[in-house]
Amino acid sequence: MRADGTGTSPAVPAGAPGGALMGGARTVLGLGREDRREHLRGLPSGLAIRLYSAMTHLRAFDERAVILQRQGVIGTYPTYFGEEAVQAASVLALEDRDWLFPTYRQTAVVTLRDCPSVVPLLLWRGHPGGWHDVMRYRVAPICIPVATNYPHAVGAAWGARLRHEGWVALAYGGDGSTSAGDFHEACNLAAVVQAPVIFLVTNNQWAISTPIVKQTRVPRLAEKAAAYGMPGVRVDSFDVFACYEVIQEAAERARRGGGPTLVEAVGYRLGPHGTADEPSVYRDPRADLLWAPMEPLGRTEAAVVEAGVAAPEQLLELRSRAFQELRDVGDRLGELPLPSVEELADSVHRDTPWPLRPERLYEPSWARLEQTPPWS
Amino acid sequence: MPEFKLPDLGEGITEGEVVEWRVQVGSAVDRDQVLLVIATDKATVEIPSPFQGRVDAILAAEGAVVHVGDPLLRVESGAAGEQPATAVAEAPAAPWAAPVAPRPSGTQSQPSMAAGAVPALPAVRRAARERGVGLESLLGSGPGGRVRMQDLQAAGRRVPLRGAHRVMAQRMAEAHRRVPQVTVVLECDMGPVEALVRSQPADPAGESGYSILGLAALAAVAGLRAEPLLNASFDEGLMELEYHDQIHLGIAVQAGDGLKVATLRDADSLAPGDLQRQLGRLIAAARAGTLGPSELAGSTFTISSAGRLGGLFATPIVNWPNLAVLGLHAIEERPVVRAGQVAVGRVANVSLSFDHRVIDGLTASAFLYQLADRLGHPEGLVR
Repeated sequence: MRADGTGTSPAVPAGAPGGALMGGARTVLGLGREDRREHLRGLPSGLAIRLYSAMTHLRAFDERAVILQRQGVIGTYPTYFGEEAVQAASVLALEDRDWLFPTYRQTAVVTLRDCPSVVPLLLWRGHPGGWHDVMRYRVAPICIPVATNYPHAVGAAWGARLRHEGWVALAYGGDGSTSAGDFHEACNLAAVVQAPVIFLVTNNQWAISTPIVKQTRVPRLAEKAAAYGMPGVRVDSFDVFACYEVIQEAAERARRGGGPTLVEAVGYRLGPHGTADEPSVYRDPRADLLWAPMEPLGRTEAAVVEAGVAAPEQLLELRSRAFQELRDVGDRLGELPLPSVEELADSVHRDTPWPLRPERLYEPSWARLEQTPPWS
Repeated sequence: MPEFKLPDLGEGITEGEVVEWRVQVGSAVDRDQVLLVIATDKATVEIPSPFQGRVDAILAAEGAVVHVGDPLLRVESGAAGEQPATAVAEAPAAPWAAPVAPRPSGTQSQPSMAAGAVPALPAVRRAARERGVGLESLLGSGPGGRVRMQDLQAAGRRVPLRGAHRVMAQRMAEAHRRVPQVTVVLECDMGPVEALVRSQPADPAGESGYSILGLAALAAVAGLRAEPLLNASFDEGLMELEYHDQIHLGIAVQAGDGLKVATLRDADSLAPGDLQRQLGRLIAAARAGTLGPSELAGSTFTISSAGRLGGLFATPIVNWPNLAVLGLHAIEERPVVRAGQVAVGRVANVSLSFDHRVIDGLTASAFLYQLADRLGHPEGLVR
């Protein structure tokens, strides 16, 4: 349904709407050809391929999820098309002991920590099998109410600092989340207690249909960090190498006791907000065309080949393997039985209260509440 | 034979319109190949195939509204010995397709029929298709509920509304249901406006210059600047008025494929000449059917002009959620009294229908009187 990443040039496209919007954003792909090659060749062995491979996996997951939604196998799904670079970098730049606090747009990052892809897909199927093992992967359950995951990450990170455990926490969010009270409280507290936390805000300029200019009078979200007393960094969200660098620096600072960092990964939402969204109603489709060449997978591929870090055949192999894997996962998904209504209240309470016991779930709720409980 | 039903497309969507089929009966389909395009209340989406095989039957016609769970097509996965494709219900599964009376229960158990297909001879199927009648909507009088030609002839013709016609039906009903509206009408001397339109030198570049509608739009913009309430909308739930900083003029255009409201965005920030040009472009695009989604929505005030066929006066319906609609009616020669003398004037009625929940008659009348006054001195509008 859409290109799976076959860009021709790694550089920032000549016609790309960079300018003021991308101003001050860290870039690697935007360097001159020689500097870009030098940068990629200077990376630790195998890292460029691992980043590319992670992005490919994320793209394959996202594409498959959209197809499965259109076929009625899963429910509403928030696509992250175009955010593969920043998401892949966020996981690979951290250590496995570091904690991730995702929102609904990062349900696939747990698969980069070896959780099977079927698990987050089951989540979107409304299946209890969709809850990944939080303690094993050190990835918190996703938060759907915007910005509520920020305070969770701060609390966890503060705990790590008090116990000298040495890990850091990373919380994801979007441009819209910076207008929420939770964002403010989390940033403030994190800086006050110097919690080892990274606020990774992907500024794709659109909070569903609200453009960034109606969101804030501060066009560079990273500048908000100054008000809390922490560093704020901008990075090109389509540039996996720049994102990796910036997030790794933030993590090292946090580990050394340097406190939180606000990372603004700036770009553009290349797709819709989700599968039930129609962006052409509220934004000019011509802008989509302008930004399309920034698509990260194709540019990463071109840069890796240009630097001689990998051969095109090797990348093709990685790509087809990822897409085939997700296709197989999708086939299995539709065959898994849906949970029964009796399981609805499982894993909610330690001792399931009487009105929620399985045998009562078929009764209308008013009947359950009006009847006298058996112990009275 | 696998059948593909309209999946739940999320967020409370219960139905969608089949916009376009990308496959035909008999064509081979691959997995994930786009089968059709569906427009829901929220989005227009491509539906990829979960199967590989050959399309055996398409069960919902383009333009049909289908509900979640309704069958869309049947795919033959190529197993040997399978029944050859028989005539199936290709008639549109329209929203009104519920049977007018229960069909004899024997219908469903006929072993030779595909489940859900209505028995009828091919000639009857074809006639039904041509007349736009869904066989499901008929009570068959033949054996086993078979639909016969006379059943079809007794049924009358039903034509599903599509596209702009459907939007018009829904929006008019919505506006009429929600908005208690009142119309004020005024006689307006259009002589000066016509004189200005006539006096424009022919443009060598082919630009047509100011039109009567363009001048009326300029007068309306000036009036809306003076009375922002008419450019507002009303939130019934919160009992709040929402004032809009920009004036987006909705222009009702009668196009071949239905009534459309083209939106002239930011009309208040355009120079008069630019407003006229934009207006011309929008009307042409509306008639050609090339308006973009953003040009079909978002108006804050509407102008309805039927030109020479505008009648003595009419009561245009407020284009909810707008609060008012300006109507321009036919210009005719009528006797007018000027300084005690009867003279022949070029006169049109202008009307303003308004939402009486939040706009009083005085405000509406004042707007209309000022509009007539501005049209009496059109040179002030184009400066």
